[in-house]
Amino acid sequence: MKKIGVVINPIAGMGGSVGLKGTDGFEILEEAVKRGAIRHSEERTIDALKILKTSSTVIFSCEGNMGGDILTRLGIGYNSVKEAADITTERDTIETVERFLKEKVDLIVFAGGDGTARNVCEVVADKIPVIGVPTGVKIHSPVFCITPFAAADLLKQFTKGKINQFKEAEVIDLNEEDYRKEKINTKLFGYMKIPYDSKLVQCKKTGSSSNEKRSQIAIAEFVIEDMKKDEIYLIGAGSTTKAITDRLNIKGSLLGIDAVKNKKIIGKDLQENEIINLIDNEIVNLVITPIGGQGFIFGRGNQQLSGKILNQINKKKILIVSAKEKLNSLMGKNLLIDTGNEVINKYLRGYYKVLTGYHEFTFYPASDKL
Amino acid sequence: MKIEPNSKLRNFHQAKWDEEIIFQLGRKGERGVLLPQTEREISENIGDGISELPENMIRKEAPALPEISQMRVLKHFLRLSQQNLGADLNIDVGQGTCTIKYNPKVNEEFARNHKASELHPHQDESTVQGALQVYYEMDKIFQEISGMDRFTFQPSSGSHAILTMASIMQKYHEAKGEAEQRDELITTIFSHPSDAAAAAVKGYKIITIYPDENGYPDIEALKAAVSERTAGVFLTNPEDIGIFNPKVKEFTEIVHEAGGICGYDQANANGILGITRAKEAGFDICFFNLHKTFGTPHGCGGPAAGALGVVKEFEEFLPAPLVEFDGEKYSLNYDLKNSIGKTRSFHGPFPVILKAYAWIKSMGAEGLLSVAKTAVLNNNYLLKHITDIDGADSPFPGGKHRIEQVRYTWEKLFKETGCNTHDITLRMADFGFHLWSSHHPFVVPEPFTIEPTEAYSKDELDEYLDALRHIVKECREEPEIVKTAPHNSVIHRVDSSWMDDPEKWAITWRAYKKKHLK
Repeated sequence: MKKIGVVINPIAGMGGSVGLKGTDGFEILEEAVKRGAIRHSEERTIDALKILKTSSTVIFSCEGNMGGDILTRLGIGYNSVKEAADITTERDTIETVERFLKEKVDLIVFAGGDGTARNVCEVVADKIPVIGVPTGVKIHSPVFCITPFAAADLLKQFTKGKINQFKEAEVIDLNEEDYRKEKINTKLFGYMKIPYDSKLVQCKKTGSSSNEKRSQIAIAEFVIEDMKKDEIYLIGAGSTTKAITDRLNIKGSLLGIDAVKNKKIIGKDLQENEIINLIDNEIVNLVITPIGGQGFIFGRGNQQLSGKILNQINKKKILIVSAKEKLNSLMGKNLLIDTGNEVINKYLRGYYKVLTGYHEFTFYPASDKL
Repeated sequence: MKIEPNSKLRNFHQAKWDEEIIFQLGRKGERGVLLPQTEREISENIGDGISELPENMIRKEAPALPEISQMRVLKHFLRLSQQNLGADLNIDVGQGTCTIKYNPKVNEEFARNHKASELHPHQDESTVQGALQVYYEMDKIFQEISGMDRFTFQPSSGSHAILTMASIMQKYHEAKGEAEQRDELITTIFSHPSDAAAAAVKGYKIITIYPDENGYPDIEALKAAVSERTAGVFLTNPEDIGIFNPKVKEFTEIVHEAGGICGYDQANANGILGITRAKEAGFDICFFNLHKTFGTPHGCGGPAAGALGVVKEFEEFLPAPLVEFDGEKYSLNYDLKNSIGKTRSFHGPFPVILKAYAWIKSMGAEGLLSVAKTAVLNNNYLLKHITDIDGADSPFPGGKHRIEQVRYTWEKLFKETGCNTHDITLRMADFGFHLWSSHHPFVVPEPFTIEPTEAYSKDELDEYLDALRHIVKECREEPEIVKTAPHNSVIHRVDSSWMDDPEKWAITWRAYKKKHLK
């Protein structure tokens, strides 16, 4: 019988919904709470963990909001390795994982973002395999599954003893301080061992090549030419979309959502409620770009675009822009949607017109499934 | 690394000359040919031959041509020729999508014969009946091969034929008053890139269809893409990765239903000759590169020929003239109601058409079919042996047999050894082989595309395989040799980023001087 350790970083993802690009560190957490961030990390693990109910495994976890609560809610019994803490910190993740190792678990399921992955990696390294459930703001580490559902599939295969291949996957360290200042500064933090199934694990992001840069300029040129008078253009995060504000000679943000109207910036690095106020009674266009190598268009790096907002935007007014190189790197996989809301996910599914250059398009499928 | 005793691989060392660009050779006043003085009687009648020209046609300064003696010219070009790896020197299966095959030398003799080479396009029809007969019979032959109703041989290449196809498409919509509304052209990512590029020249917006999870063009994406703005679809089938789209008939139906027209890029028809036809797949227009499937040389960028055919409804849009036959004599017909006009002067590249005619006649119908069968057999022989090499694979979609070529990947080898497809390409040159990475876009990681055609024997294919095996072994045991290749070839590593950079690229000597010799 397999022994599984389950640990959740309950505050992961809180920074994202209020435009903070991460939740590393105490002050940022306080700021996030002040901005009205809601905890959803635990909720997002439900889809990954519920399959444990029907599997014959021995579960270990930490009491409280780091795993215990949600397991109890799902009716899954577990052995406690640690008492609950009121305010959880990295230290709690690290201690929990250390105790899993003492218990000689076969696999650790951890939920959070890149920061959480770093904490787990510090202790576990490649000693035993892990499954990463993406609930954080920044998911740059290929160690994570593409979605909580994918984590569930992998976990199911593992508990059934059907996986005998493992793969070293990178844990990426993205400097959150730099990220807020709009510098993408990633470095390789370490490796962990993941059960291998090529379709279910996130691949490493592809950086922009010089060719891609030229495509970005061509794309920006077309988007600007095509802008309609008096309509609002919400410009999403990423270097492809940043090229649009650059070309308009306005200072947009690289990692936030900006709003442009009549070629002038009317809002920069907007939070969810700011966007809601701004788009009321307006014709709204949304211009977004997929995350390279992964293909996420919703739910990674743009949590500000909540269900409430997306519900108000006509799907035909969503323009996806992407250099061909970025689409090519998906190797035929569809674009991904992971808003955390099943209804919105379903609404957003389908084929999108993707602008790939000046006068160049493709129709590409997007789905919340692989 | 030592070549193993049972390997078919041969030692090779290419000539390497530190040769100047021709503009850097010679001196002012140096001459290759001293022209004789004009005879007095001629100059009295004609004058100096220049001042009679309209003033705006007379250039103010002499062109900056190289000034160089015969001997130096001869040496220059012979040296360059030693630095080539042409189809007559190497086992040229590594240039996938280009369909390199043997071009029988006897056919060159026909084209070189004065009866062909001294023809003038302005000769009276009655004096060129033989040449017109060749055009007429080629039209009939290609009607049979494709199922189309009429052919023109004017386009000078595949891309030129695509441009002609786009022109016909535009003219057709113009005639229906829909040209402005229909401004989108659909193609697939593994069609030849010129299908998009040549249509873009005509002002079309390009929609590219990506493959579905099985590696076939995504038919659902096509359904989402067609609209009242659809001018048409241009696609290659089998695609450049060697996959035949089995839903091609549905594709043409979807596009026709939306009011678009369907153009078939059959530049390379080598794997389906005598097996499938454009007509039955529902296409309105198609074209063949005579310099690929039909055995004439590629000519390093020309002269070549794209034989373009249409169904009845589109005949009136073809470039004029067409060759007619009344049972007794052949004639040129310029009377085409909606002709797009000329795509080049006169009637197309006659020597190429003549060579292809000779090739087809020597093969016969059964021969053409056996070309396709042998090409496919050769390809799948290589597929088996290449995918047996640890480090090589055939993804997209994996595990399937292919038609006439395969786009392979070195991804695994790269991950394991750090040697990429570029390194291997350059190392192959050290053994006298041409290996080409592949067309853009690089959808397949670390790609290489192999197309053996029907021309190469099993012995030669085995030699090529031994080269790949040898280099893969080197990647694992002495990777530095591969990463620093070529060692026995001409040119070392070139920074190809210049070719993508408008600030740096220079396609003329003048541009080079302006950008780089400031």
